[in-house]
Amino acid sequence: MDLEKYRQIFLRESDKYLQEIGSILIDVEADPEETGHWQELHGKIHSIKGMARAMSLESISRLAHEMEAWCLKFQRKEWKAREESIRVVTEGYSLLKALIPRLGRLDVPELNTAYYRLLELLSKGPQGREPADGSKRRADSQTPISVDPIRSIGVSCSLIEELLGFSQELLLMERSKPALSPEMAAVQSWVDQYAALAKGLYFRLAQLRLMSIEEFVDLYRHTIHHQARQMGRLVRIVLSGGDIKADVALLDRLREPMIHIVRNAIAHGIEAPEERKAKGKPEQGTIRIEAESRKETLVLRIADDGAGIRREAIERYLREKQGYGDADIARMDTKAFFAVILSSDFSTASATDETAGRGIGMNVIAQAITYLNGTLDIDSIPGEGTSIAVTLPMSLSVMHAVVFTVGPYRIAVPTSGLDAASYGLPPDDVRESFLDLRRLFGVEINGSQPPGVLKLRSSSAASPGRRRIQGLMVDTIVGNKPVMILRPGQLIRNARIFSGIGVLESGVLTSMLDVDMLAQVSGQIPETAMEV
Amino acid sequence: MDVLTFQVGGEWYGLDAGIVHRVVEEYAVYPVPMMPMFYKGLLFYRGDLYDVIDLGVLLGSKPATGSRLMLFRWRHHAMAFLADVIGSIRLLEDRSKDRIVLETGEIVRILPMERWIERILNNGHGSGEIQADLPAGIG
Repeated sequence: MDLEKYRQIFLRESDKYLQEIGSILIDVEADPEETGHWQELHGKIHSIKGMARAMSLESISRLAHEMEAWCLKFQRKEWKAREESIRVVTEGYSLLKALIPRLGRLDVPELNTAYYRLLELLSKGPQGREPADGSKRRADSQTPISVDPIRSIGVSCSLIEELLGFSQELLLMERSKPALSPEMAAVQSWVDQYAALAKGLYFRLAQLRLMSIEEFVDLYRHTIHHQARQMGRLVRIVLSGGDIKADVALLDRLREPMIHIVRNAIAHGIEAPEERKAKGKPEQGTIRIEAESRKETLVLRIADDGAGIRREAIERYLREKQGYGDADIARMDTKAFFAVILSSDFSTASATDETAGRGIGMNVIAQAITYLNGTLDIDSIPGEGTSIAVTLPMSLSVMHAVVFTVGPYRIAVPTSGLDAASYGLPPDDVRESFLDLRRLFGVEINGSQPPGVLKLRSSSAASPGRRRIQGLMVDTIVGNKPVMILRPGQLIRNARIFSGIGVLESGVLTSMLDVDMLAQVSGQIPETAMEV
Repeated sequence: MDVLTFQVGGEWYGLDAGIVHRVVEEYAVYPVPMMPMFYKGLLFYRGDLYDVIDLGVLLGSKPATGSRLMLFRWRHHAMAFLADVIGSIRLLEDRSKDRIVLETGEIVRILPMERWIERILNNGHGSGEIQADLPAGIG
C-alpha cells in the first residue's frame, strides 16, 4: 500500500482548500457580518480537518478543529466579528499554510511557539467581544471543556506497517532456529513458547489496519466538488454508515473504482441546474453514499438523483450484438439488463450521446471490483436516478482450513467443506470418485506411502453432468489450522481453481483450493490406479 | 527516468526504477500448482502478496539463476521478477527511447510494462504444461 499516494492527495487537496480560504478571508475582511463567508470558511477548514484526521496529523487537525469552532460562532452570530477576530483566523490560516507542507511537524521553535499561542487564543474566544445577544455568556476567558473517556486512538498507517513488518520478520526467524541438543530441552520449550507468542502477535497486528468509510470518502470529497464545479453542476454528497471500518488495503484498491463511479454520476447522471429545475427537481443534485456491513461483506451503494441510464443504447446492443428480440428484452430483469453496460464490448463511443455515456470505463470498474472478489449491481430509473451497489467480502477474514501437501505444494480446503481426513487408499468401489491431486498436479507418487485422503462433505463438489467427487487424495495432511485469507493477484485468479491465498500463523502461505471449480476444470475424474 | 537494469540469459533489460519498491534477497517463495512454467510461486512480503515470475523462463531461455527478487507494483498488479544478475540503476534521459547503450556497447532493452504484464497475464492459463509464448523481441 502506497502511503506516499495518500500524502500527495492530502497535500494537493489541502492546497486547494487553502487557496480558497485565502480568497474567502478577503471577502470576510470586506464584510465581516456576512455569515455566508464564515459558513464557507467553516466548511473548508472542516474538510482539512477531516483529511488531517484520516492521516493522523494531530497538530493540523487540532488547529483546524479550533478554527472551525471559532468560525461557527461567527456564522451563527453568537459572537460579533471584529477586526481582531479576523486577524486571529488569518493567523490560523498562515499557520496551516506552514504546517501542511511539513505534515504537521512542529520542528521549528518559532512555529511551535506560534502554534500553541494561537491554540490558546482560539480556545479563549475573541477578546473584548460582544456576544450577539448582548449578554455576557462567558465571564472568564476559559471555555469549559468536557472530555470523553478515550475509547480508540488514531494510529499512523506507517507505524502499523512497520509493526507488521517487524512481527513478520520475527515469525520468519523461527526458520533459522539453531538445532538444540537434548540437554537444552528447557531452552527449546522456552523458544517454542516465544515463537508461538510472536505468531499470535502477527495475527492480531494484521487485523489493525482498519479505516472508517467516512475517512475514506473524505479523502476525495474535494475532487468531487471540484469536478462538479467544473461541469457546472450543483452536487452534495450525503454519506451514511460512515463509521463502518474496513481494511486499509481493501479501501486502497477501492479508491479508483469509487472515484470513477462518482465521476460518472456527476458527468452523466446529475443534470445541469436549469435542467433539473425544469424537471421539478431541486437544483442541487444529491449523491448518496451508503455503507452497510453484513456478516463478512461490505456493501457500498452510490446513488444519484440524476437522469438515470437511458435504455435505448443497451437495447440496441442487445439486439445488434447479442441477437435479442423485443420479447427477450422485455423478459429481462433490471439487474441483468443494466449489467450489460459492464460488458467489455459494450461501448458508447459509437452511440451519438444517446446513452448517458456511462458505458465508458464501466467494464474497467467492473474488472477492478471482480479482482477484489466483489460484485457490482446497477439499477436505474430513467429520469429519476441511478444506483450502483458494490458488494465486497471483507478483506481480512480468518477461517479454519485443513492444510495438506501435494509434492512441493501446500494447499488447504476450508474445514467446513470436509467430513473426514485420514490416511489410506479409499476402497476400490469408490476410488474413482476421489480426485487424486498428486496426478492432477503432476507430482511423483510414492507408492509405498499411503496417501492422505480428505473426504468432502456431501453437498459440495457436484459438477453438473459428472459423477460427484467424494474426496481428494494427497500426500501429507498437515492439520486443521486457522488461516487468514488474502486476495491473490490476477494470475492466480485466472487459474480459477483457487478461492484465495491463506496465511498460516507461522507466516507460511497455502493455496486455498476451490474444489467445485477444480472438478469442473479438471474434467473427467482421473483414474486412480494403484502404484505398487 | 531511472532504470533498474538486470541480465537474463546473457541479455540486459531495464525496468522503470520508480515502480520497483524493493529488491529482496532469498525470500521464501511458495509454489502454486496448475500455473504457467514461468510462475515460480507466491511471495508474502510485509503483508502483501507478490507473484514471482522467472524471467529466464518467460523470455525463453533457461530458468533464472539469481537469488534476488525485484518487487514492483504496476497498476494494481504486484509482482516480483527473478533475473540472473541485477545491475545498477541507469538514467534514461530521453523517455521516448526504448534502450540504453552501456559503456561496453551492450544494449539494455527497456521493458514496456503494459505490454509485458499483458503477456504474462494472457499466458497464465490454468493448466501447468503451457509454455509461455516466447516473445520475438522486446520493445
